[in-house]
Amino acid sequence: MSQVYITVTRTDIPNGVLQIRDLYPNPSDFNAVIDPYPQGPFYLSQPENNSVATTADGDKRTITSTVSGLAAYLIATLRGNDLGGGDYEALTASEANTIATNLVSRMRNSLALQAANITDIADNTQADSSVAAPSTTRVADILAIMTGAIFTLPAGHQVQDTNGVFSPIAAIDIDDFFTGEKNNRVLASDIAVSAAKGALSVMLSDNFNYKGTANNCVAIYNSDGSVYDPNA
Amino acid sequence: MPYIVVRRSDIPAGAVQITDLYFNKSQARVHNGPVPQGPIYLRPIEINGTGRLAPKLQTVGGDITITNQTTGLVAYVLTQVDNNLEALTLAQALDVANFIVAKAYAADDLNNLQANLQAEFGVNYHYSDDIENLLKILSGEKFVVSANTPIQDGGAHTPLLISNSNFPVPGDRRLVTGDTAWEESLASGQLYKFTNTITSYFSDLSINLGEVNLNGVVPAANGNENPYAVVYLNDGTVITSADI
Repeated sequence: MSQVYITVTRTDIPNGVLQIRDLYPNPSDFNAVIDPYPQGPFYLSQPENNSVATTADGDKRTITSTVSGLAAYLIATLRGNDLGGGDYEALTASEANTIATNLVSRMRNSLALQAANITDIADNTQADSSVAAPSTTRVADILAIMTGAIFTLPAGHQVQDTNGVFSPIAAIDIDDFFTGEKNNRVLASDIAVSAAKGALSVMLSDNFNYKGTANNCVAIYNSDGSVYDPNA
Repeated sequence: MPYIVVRRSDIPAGAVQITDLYFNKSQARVHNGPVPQGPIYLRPIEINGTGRLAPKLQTVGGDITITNQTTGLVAYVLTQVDNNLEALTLAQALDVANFIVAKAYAADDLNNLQANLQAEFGVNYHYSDDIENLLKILSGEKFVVSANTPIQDGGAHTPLLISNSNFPVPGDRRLVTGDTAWEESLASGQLYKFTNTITSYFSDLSINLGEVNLNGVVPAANGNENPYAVVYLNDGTVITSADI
């Protein structure tokens, strides 16, 4: 069963203010014995995107202070400058921050975040950057962070070794750096109906009004980063 | 979005109800439940080729205008189909509308309508509107064209840009892609029955009852010996129980 990720496209909506209520079953009336696991209610959360900073020790680079968000995820998983021979440097902190900001901007405009899109955004800032190996970047992780999932790099985490070579987090270990829910939802009837006719359809509409400003407030992504079209 | 389209002319609006689309309005929880998907009533196709709501055309030189507020399939055909870049006559539009209805009654795909029209009528008809607008009308939604809508300007057809205002009654006849309720219904529930079996309606017991896909009964095209309905996907292709 495919997964979808519901992100917030507006910056004026704080975490936990808007709730999608029409996802089935709702915990308030589901029967734990015979009903499926509750999908709702779902609160909208902003993506976390704090600036990351690194400290150099010769060619070795580590994270200066504990930091959460998309830039932290990128610097730990996305390759930087090409050294030749299959080796790459880590992204610089500045590059990671820029790419993260540009990816969030893309989400705010409800544009696709597929692997190719992520590479395009990355190599606009650092020409050799890509989701290809040795990068361990996963589309689903980026989508999870966009929905408000928390990814934290501890202070001192090494992103580049003493030879100046990128040392990404192995894909199998990435989940250890996430805390709490990854906010994915199963694309079941309730999500489809909500997006076509229910609460999500209202939030997808440019007529959605929050504190006097009318614009859409959510984007829905398939797990491959393409935008979910409820009217397909 | 799939649409349920009737396949016979003897079923009045509101007479046949599809009740197994989950949630049903009668038991939906409005405060925290999904939007109810059922029940949906079958509705006849509004054609309006003649009568009070039929389009009335006024020709002045090379300009043609629909002078009255009109509804239905003939009005849609007039605004969306052209004959070698000129507007259709009312008679031509009625022929095209009847051809489309016959294809729906026969459960034919509608995803290649322009070629079908050209093959049927042997003239250079053009149709390029979003097929979903046509499916809405076939599923029973009210399509309204305002009075004094031009359909030809200086000898050239001027297709109407269709918006929500042309479908002013929020009927919401759509099924939802990805919703399992209608898929289950089409696979083995009421939609299966309504799309596969020939059932008498009201007191007409003269027709042969039977299941089309099991006993090989071929229903009469454009007649009342068809199954009740057909389900179209929004690209104009037919989806059947076998596709689920």
